[in-house]
Amino acid sequence: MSPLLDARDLQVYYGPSHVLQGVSLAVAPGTVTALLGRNGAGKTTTLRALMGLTPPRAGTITFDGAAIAGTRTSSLARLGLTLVPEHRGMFPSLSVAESLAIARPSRAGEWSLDRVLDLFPRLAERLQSRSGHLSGGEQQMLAIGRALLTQPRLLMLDEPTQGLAPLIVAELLGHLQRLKGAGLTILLVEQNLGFASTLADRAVLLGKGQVRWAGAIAELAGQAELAHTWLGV
Amino acid sequence: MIQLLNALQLSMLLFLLAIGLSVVFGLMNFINLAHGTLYMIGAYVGFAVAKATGTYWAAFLVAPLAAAILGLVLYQLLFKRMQHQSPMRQVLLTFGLIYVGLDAVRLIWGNYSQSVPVPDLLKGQVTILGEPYPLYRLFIIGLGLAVLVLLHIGLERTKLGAMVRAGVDDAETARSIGIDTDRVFILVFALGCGLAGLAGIVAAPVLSVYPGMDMAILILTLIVVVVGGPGSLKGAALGALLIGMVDTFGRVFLPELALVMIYAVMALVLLVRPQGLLPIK
Repeated sequence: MSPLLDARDLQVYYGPSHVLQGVSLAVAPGTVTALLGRNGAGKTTTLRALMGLTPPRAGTITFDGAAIAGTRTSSLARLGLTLVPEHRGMFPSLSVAESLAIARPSRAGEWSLDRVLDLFPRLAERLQSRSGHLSGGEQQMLAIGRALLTQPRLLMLDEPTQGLAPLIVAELLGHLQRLKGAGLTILLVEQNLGFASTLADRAVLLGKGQVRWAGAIAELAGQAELAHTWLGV
Repeated sequence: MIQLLNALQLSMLLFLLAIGLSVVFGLMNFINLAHGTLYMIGAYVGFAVAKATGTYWAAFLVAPLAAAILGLVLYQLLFKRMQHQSPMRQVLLTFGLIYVGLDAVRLIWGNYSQSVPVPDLLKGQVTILGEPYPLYRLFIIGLGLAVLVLLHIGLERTKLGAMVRAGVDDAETARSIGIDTDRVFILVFALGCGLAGLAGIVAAPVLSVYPGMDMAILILTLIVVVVGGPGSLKGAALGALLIGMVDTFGRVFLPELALVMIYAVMALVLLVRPQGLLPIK
């Protein structure tokens, strides 16, 4: 099956520092891919490069067969790519209802407001609250719900479990498994290895701006040395 | 009482000017010192239209439009490229534009002061607490309040307003969910320029129209933005009210200290609340 997203040889710089040194990765439709690595390995930068927020200086990105490197972020979102950023990207001056209302759908799609509120009933109870007043778990659900309303074909999540209590992490895992079951393609950056290996099919291991290993995430358990060097576990 | 109304009237003019400057600064990180020039252009275009058509109300409609269009042209030609550059470059560029605007106005309309007559509908006086007060000045106060209310509704109650706020809160995330923040900001920029033009034509019958009228009000407007807190609608309103009051009453009660008092207020606000009275974040 041809990949939904195919990035080749991404080169990203922040000023003089060479953050991504030829990162390549492919995401097959309907799968969950986990992007793993230590702090500073380049995981967030990879997502930002794919979303057009930190455009790569060189490399190609193909999304559903079309070259998209250099496309503006808002246009990428209309093609069906979306990103839930680290720290969830809340709009503190917007209510929950407003945050959900402003997402621009990329196409006529299956995600309606009602369906999102069915998935996250706690949001339905807090529609009029300012999004900055929500708990961490509620904020994460709002961020994902907002992203779903863009009718994404590829959902990118940057550390969705960060700062969440174990009970909430388990709840989030259930939600994301349901989304995966519904056929959504997900690219996930995650420090929580247990969370990532329960949800993901494949893993891409980043270290110092390069891909160190890629394969089925189940095989990572047998690679003790690899995990020790690049994940610190 | 009369002085209070005069102060309110000045406050409303300052508000119309400050809101564009402030929101553009807060939203786009762009310092447009030529904002006052758009006010002057609004006044002159209004003067020309009023003279040609014989009616103030045609000028009232055309002046904001002209300022908005000129603002958009400047944005496309110059400001777009300057948006991510250092504030110093923005200041230098737009400061240069002030002089271009000044000479352009001198070239077209001459170096002397012009006047725009008060529209017939708003001629005359009303008696307030036993004292007569020009109806036109009340009109300015009413117009400023109406713009404030409309902007508030637009910002807080509409989807477009929610997009603007989202863009201010977190532009990258807003783009990631498909909002074209550049286009939203251009709309806001044009609206701000239009309001400067509106301030120009509204002020014309009261303050007269002359080359340099932009500089006279630019300083006050900048102070309003700093005092109120850049980017905030309520901040611009509160700042305009405060500076309008201090300037008007200062001139009445302590004429020799009037200008100093405004700067003193600004210094005080900056000492106590460096981010302004009602900052956006």
